[in-house]
Amino acid sequence: MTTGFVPWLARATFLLLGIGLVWGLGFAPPDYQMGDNYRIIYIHVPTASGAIWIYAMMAVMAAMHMIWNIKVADMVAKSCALIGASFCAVALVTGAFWGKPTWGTYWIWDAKLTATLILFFVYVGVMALRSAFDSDTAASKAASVLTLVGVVNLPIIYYAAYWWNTLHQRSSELGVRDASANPPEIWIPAVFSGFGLIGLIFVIIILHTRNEILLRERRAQWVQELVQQETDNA
Amino acid sequence: MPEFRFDSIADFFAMGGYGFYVWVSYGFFAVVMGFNLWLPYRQRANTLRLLQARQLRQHGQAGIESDLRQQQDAQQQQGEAH
Repeated sequence: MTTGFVPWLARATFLLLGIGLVWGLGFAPPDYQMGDNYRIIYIHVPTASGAIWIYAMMAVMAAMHMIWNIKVADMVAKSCALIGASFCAVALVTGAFWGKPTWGTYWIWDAKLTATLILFFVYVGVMALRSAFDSDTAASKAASVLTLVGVVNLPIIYYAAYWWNTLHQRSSELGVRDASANPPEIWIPAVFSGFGLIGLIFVIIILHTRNEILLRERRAQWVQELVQQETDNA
Repeated sequence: MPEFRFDSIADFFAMGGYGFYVWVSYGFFAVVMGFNLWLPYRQRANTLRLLQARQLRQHGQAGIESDLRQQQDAQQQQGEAH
């Protein structure tokens, strides 16, 4: 199943992720206020923004499916849901374990936190709705509509810290122009782990979509040939 | 070159007193991402098994092979006709 560029994408992904996390955990300097606890940033920020961008991709796919009836767009949208929910869950849990020592609580009904929790429920809702139909066509249509409705939540999460003065901080400035902001020793490892996680998103979505294509195109000749080959190899 | 910021491995795991929070976070991240990578491989195996069973049910083993041969022959003839 790993043909073409996917193995290379996977290797690049693990390399970037490995460098980013080892660097972030062991070699980046401690924060002057939060000490070593801030090292959660190297997974918290990329998974949180990943959860938003995966949803944006899922919505674009849902729109393409609804407007042009492109089948593979719906398959990609279906593959986005679980990985998006996973990223959202990791962002929420790592945020909680960062919040406890810095804010004194695992959870608070802050605007950004609440909107992110809603995003998680929307992901779960899309998956549940899709699995509630026997017919593939009806399931795709319902999931697409719910996905598009859920888009209103994305700018709310993104701008929550600017629109409301609750607890979650705004995005830290990178210290490119302003020397008092995060220095490169702190943000460079985050760039590595960020690109590593982008790679991981695409690897997982591609693998899921391939399975979905096999299942939905099961009557096609090439799928039957492939199944035959796998039987012979087994 | 960035230097290692901890004096010992024990020091590294302690994370300046924040070890519990940091390692629970990274552990949860690793488990969830591992599951996400493992799942499509298992699903692929399941899908193939399902489709194999479906083929066998419809045609029997010999039936599939002759079906495929016939389809290929038909395609070749089409190609020659053009």
